[in-house]
Amino acid sequence: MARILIVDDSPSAIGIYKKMLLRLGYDVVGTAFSGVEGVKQAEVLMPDIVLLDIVMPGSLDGIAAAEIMKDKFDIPVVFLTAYSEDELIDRAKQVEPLGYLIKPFRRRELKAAIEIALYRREMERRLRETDERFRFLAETTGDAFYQLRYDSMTYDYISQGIATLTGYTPAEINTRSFSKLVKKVNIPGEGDAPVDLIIQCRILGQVGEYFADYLIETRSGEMKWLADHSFPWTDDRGQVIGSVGILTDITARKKAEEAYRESEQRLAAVFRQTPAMIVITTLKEGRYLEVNEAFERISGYTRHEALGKTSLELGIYQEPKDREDFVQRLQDYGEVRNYEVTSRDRSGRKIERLVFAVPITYREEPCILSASSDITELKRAQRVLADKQARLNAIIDSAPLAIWSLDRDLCYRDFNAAFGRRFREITGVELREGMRANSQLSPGGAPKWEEQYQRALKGERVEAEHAFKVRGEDLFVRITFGPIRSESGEITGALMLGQNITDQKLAQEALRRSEERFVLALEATRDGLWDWNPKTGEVYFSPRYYTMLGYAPNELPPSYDTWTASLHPEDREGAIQKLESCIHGASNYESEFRLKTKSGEWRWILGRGKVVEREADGRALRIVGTYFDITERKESEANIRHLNNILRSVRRVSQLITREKDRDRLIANACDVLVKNRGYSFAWIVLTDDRGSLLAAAQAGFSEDRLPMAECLEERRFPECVLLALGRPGVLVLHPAAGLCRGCPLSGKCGSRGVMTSRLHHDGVVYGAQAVSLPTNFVFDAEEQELFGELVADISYALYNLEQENKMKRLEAQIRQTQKIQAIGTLAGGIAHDFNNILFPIMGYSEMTMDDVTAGTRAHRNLEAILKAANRAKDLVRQILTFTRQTDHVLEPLALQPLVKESLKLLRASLPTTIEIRADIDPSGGPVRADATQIHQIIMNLCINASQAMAQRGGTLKVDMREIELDSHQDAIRLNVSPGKYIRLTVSDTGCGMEPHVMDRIFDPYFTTKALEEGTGLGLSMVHGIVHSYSGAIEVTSQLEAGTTFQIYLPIVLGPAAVPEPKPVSSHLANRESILVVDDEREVATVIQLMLETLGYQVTALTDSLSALEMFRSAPEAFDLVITDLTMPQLRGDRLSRKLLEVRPDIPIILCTGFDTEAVDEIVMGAAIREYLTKPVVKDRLAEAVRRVLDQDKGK
Amino acid sequence: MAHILIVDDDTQIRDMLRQMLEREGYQVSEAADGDKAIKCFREFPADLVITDILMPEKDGLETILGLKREFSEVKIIALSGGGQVAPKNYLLMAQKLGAQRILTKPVERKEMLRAVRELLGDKE
Repeated sequence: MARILIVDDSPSAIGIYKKMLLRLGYDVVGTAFSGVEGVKQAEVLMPDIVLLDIVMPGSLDGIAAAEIMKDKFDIPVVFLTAYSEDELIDRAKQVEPLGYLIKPFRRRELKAAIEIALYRREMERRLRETDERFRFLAETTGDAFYQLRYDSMTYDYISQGIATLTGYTPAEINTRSFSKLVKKVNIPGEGDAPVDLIIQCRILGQVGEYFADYLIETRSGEMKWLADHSFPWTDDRGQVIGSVGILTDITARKKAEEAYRESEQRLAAVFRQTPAMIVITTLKEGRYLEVNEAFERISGYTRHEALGKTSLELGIYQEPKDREDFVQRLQDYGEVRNYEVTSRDRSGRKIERLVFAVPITYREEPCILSASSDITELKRAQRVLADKQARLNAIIDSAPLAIWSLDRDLCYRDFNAAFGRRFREITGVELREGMRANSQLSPGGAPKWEEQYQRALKGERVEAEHAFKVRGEDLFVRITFGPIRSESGEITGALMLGQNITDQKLAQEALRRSEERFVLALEATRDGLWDWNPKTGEVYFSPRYYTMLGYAPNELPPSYDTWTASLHPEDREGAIQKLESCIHGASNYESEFRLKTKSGEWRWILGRGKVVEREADGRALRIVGTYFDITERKESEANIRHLNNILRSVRRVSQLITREKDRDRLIANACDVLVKNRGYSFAWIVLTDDRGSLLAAAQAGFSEDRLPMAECLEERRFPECVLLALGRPGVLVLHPAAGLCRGCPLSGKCGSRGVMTSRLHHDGVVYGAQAVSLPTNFVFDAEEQELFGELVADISYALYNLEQENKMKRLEAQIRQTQKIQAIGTLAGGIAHDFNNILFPIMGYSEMTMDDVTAGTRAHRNLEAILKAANRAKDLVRQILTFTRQTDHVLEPLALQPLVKESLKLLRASLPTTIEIRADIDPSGGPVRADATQIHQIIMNLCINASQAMAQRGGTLKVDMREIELDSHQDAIRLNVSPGKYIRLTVSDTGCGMEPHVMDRIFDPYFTTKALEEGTGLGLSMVHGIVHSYSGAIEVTSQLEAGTTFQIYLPIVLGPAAVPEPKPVSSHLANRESILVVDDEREVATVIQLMLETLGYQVTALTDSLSALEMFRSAPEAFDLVITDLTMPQLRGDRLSRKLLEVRPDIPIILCTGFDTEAVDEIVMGAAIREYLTKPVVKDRLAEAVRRVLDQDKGK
Repeated sequence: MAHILIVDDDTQIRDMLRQMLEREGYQVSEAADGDKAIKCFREFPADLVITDILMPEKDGLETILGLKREFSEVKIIALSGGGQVAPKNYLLMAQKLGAQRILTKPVERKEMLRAVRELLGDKE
């Protein structure tokens, strides 16, 4: 929105203009009525345009005012005038108004005038700015602008910059003078040319642009390069009338270019001639783009041969992968330095190269500039040096000497392996170069080391010995310290050599000690010393020589004869011979002999000697030696030999007892061993039974003196020593002097030292006694007694073992017997039923046929015989069933006494009067779990057997019954029963007795000594069976013609005894418990129901297992017990049980099964069933099982 | 004349008993096991049943039960020869189940006939 100031002397005109302007949308910022006022307003308002009336009164007319506004404030003016006189217009033109409006004018005209004025004003402003900018540029830069007119060959304009360039002002310069300054012209494409405007003109015409470089001499004589860059100058018609251009100082650039060129040349020369091999290759494939002379020389390829080829094609790399590695390094690190590579030259010769390379761009391609030098010779030299060094190091390292050096700061420098190893051993530290030598090597000894190092560093040679501990052992080292000098003689460090002198040191030490020891030995020795000259017979005896024989020093004359006189006669000859052999050759002498002491005892002497001087003919001149009393050693040697013998005997006896299973051979061999191994002079063993009677005896060592002892034993008389030993434990030593052997038939045969005896016993049982005697020169000391004790213990143990084994054998026999009877019983029970069924028709038909046959005929008698036989068979079956316990006996606590008395009453009537019955029944005995009928059978069987044994001669039948306690382990084991209280029933007779082979078989079924009619052979078997079924035991002893005794042991039970009358199932009475019975067979279910109801239980019986399960589920607590069959349709008994237990885990269940018990076991266990019963179900067993389960349940 | 049913799996025993009883004038039927006996009894009721205890299929105890259930008035003699388990138990059980007499095989003729007569007394 242009802001307009109106200046006019007519207020009405102003009003009209204002209205017109406002309507046109301009902003009238002010009005003025005179020129003066208009100028003032313009100065204040600074309008965009002033509409100015030319003709106005006052000091300033319009034109004058416009002049001021334009000059002073640069505000444009549009004149308003009613006149159009030429003179006025001309005057008005002088102030270059932006427009005229001739009054009156229309609004449209006003608008056009203002808009043109505004446009012109804007254009003018822009032109002025451009012009100003150009001028500023032209006048201030160092460059010169020029405008050249061709027709006149003059510069229309040349800027001030020419002065800077040439030293001449624009005024002074013209084309001619400029040409004179130019010494050389360089036009691109034209080369060097003279300064010729025609050329410039031609180029401008052709190219439209002109470049040229001029070398000019400035006013001051300086040479400068100017660049001329010009364009054509055309007139309105497009005709080239000249040129406009710019001259620029390019001296510096020219110089740089020059320098660069020179440098390039020099570089190329270097590239070509440098002794290093320099090449430029493409990065990608290693194609040679540039190679230098060194390359040609080293590789053997000419430049022409190489360029364009790749290094691999030429076979430069010995290993093609080296190039890959090289390129990789270059890419990784941006450059490669000191890269060693092995190449081949054209002839194939190996060249070691050291390569430096950088990536460059050459001919617009990534390339590698590499420089390498031939280090083949260098490498070879290095290798030689390294080999030499290594050899030298090896020599130094393998030297036994420790070698090391320190620098002036006392830091370790070089050292060999020996030193390194020693250092590690001593300090535990790995030695490294540069470590400071401080106290590591010898803790606490640092000052000494330091001082020695320092002396070496001062140029001194020092020798010193150092001691170390290596793994607890001494190490002595002699160390030589010396300086290390440089070539200039300056001391740079210290060199040490360490030599191991440990062995030397230890040897010295040992020598020193041995000397010391000798002195000490001489002072402290118990040896007697002698020094003898065989030639002169002179002898020296040391004081100890005398005192050890009980003499005062020098009490006997010091002579050879003194010695020979005191020698033991047995040793004399040997001792003298040995000594004399020294005179004629042997240099050492050693001999053992006895010498007599002053008190007459003999002492064992160990004599040792050495010939110290000999004559020229070899005869000994001087023999020196010692005497040492070895009496004690000799005695203990003998003792040890003896003890060894005994030990050997002990060992042999140990071996013997593990091997020998026969008692008599055992003791006989034991005696032999003891004597034959020279431990004892004689040995004997006596075995007794528990009443002290002789069982067996053995001896060794008596030889012909054996007889009195054998006699003595046969008469069952034991020597006093045996009786004493049997009476008390431990080893007993008896000396003949004590008088105990007086009266003994062996007295005097046992040796002067007496005997050592001990009883043989183990685990409280005495087996007998053993006695030994020692050879004369030994005593029964503690050790002897201890060994003897061990020997006795071994033999006792062997006897115990033998007894145990025999017992085991007897037990086994007993068990076999029981098993045999049981087997027969099972068999008998099995056949009884069938047998009776067979007998039944035999008897029936016989009886009926007898009706058909006349009595008294043979046929009738035969039938009677058949019937009688059948009846016998019937009885036999019954007996077998009884004996195998197949009958239904109810065991209950029973007082036996009345039963026995009752039975004896019966017997009395049937026994002949030649037999007396003596009964001793202790009425206080406790009850036994038994069946009255069976007890009766036992008594009858035993008593009848007894009476039969006495049938011919008569005799006494003794029946004894009392309570006893089998507390001894031995008794219980012998009888194979548990310890505890028993009723013992003894039945003994004074009859004919039994042979052992009969006794072995009496319990066998069907074994009988009686006539066929008298017995079945089952009686004792039955007794045996009954006793064992009561967990009791039976024992029999018999002596031919003296009688037989049976002893029966029956365990006593706790609780009151029942009346001795059988009473059925009374103990299984019910408490009205509720029982569910399930069996798919109605009859079986009913039977069980009936049985249980008679026992007093409430029973629900069902035939369908599923209904049973349903009923149980509806009221699980209504039942106390379930009895179920196993085999049922739909739900088997075991599965039903499982389901019942799921409902109520504590419900007791009894399973009935028709199967074998073993087959069902697993299933029963699996279902956690309490009891099982086999079919057909028997009431007693059912009652028992039900009661047991329910009581068990209640017990919980 | 009284009718007696003999139940035993042993043919020889059945034959012998039949002869023994027919000699005395009794009418005799026989069956080899309990099931056949009950079937037979239904067709031709007997005045007395003499049954063995240990039989295959249906044993004597079950037979006694079955007969007693159906014909509560039936008179029964039970016989047994013993076996694996105590024979007396079976006979005692048979007695409890309703057998009027129990006898152990082999039975003497006069003992057998006495038992039969005692049970059939008034019918003699």
